Amino acid sequence: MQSADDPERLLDDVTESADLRSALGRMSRELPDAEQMARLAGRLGIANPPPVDSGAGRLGAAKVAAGAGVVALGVLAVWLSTRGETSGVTAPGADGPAPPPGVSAAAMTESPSRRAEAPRIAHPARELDAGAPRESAPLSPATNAEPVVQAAPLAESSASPVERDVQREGDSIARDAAGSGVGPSRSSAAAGTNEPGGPAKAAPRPPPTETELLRAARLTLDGSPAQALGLSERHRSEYPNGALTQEREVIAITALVRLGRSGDARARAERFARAYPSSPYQRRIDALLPR
Amino acid sequence: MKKGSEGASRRPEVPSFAEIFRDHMPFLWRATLALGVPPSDAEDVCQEIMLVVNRRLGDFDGRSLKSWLYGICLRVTSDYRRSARVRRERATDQIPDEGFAAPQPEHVDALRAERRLRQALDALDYERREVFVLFEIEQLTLREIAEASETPLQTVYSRLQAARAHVRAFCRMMNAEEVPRAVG
Repeated sequence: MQSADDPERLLDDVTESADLRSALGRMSRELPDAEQMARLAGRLGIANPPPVDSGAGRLGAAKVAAGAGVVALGVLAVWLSTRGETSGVTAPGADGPAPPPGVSAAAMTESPSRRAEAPRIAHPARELDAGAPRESAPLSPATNAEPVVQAAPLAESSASPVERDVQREGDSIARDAAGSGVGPSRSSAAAGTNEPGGPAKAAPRPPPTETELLRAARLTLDGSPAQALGLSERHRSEYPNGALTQEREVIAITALVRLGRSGDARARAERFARAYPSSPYQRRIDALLPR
Repeated sequence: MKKGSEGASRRPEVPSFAEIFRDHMPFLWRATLALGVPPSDAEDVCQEIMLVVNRRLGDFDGRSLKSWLYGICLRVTSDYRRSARVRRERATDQIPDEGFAAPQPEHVDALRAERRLRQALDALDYERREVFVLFEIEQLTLREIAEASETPLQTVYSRLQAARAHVRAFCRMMNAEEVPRAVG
């Protein structure tokens, strides 16, 4: 949107440096992919954006295309090049079902009493009071969303609700990694029985991606370094030549340090330094293991 | 019963929570990253933004949705930055999400330019960064930015000018200092 009195935007100003404009363009295209949107939708207890054939807006089309990788960038580039409104698309018609009033509205109303107006996020994964919306996650169709709430009980003694949720998410991915891609969807089993009829039923889940495994490992690193280590080992076995190997090693070494296994951590750090000389992660590993 | 938190809104101008998520979350996400939240924390911060949206949707008067949403985004990201835990962990917690496969040669220049811009933004005063990001990337009007950040329009304008001057100078300086690309 352009107001008549506003200066021209740098991106549109041909007298500006081409490098700067190209960099701005790249930052403008940094939108969440379909996985990330689905995960957020799950965490918030919202149905996923409707698929493109239901006549939803441009975002729906972009979401479906995103699964095809390169195609997504093309779609987004075309979409952004028709920039007139870069925030928000229309087509409110095909609205996904909001969280059923019975549970989540009440749960969401509850949360203000546990949180200040402008919430303090000391450590997002630890201190967010995300208990309410996550409890409602099983009520939304789990098309692409990770199931957050698990059937199996957890040791819940002293963990905060958020930490439990983080653990569940890590467990969920860990369990998927164990028995991935086989049999009926775990989402319907784990997510409970209250899926409203609506957009597509959950499809069988593919094995977790490298990114998912390592994200889960990072999430559990604070609460359970042992689990983080397990997840990074799973990454090592399932993606022996993965693109995220260096990142995984950093997580594994961090987990070993936090488990008090400094000998193992040092040995692994030494192997890392030999395998990846002049790695951008070397400084971080050095910080973990002061000499 | 909390208005606006269930199903379709009673007030025609106010979208539902699900609509706001579908139509605006991608852009709030983008803004979150551009404002300096690391990718590893973006999802948590975006969830927090939406939780605040949900809590306050009932009080939203339906005017200027963008200003309202980005106002929440600014406050939540500001709180994130100020948290002590983030400061302590910043040195060790920066594990990027994306893999680090070697970039194609034709992308190297673009990546370098993007990195320079991000460094320039990291070096900016936070208020100036907010204005720059909201204007240049999120494409809000100056008036919308003034509303979102609760600052006078003239202040927003001067912050934008200052931010632009800084970014331009920073990028020029970085450009000048860079080692010439190796031949071959």
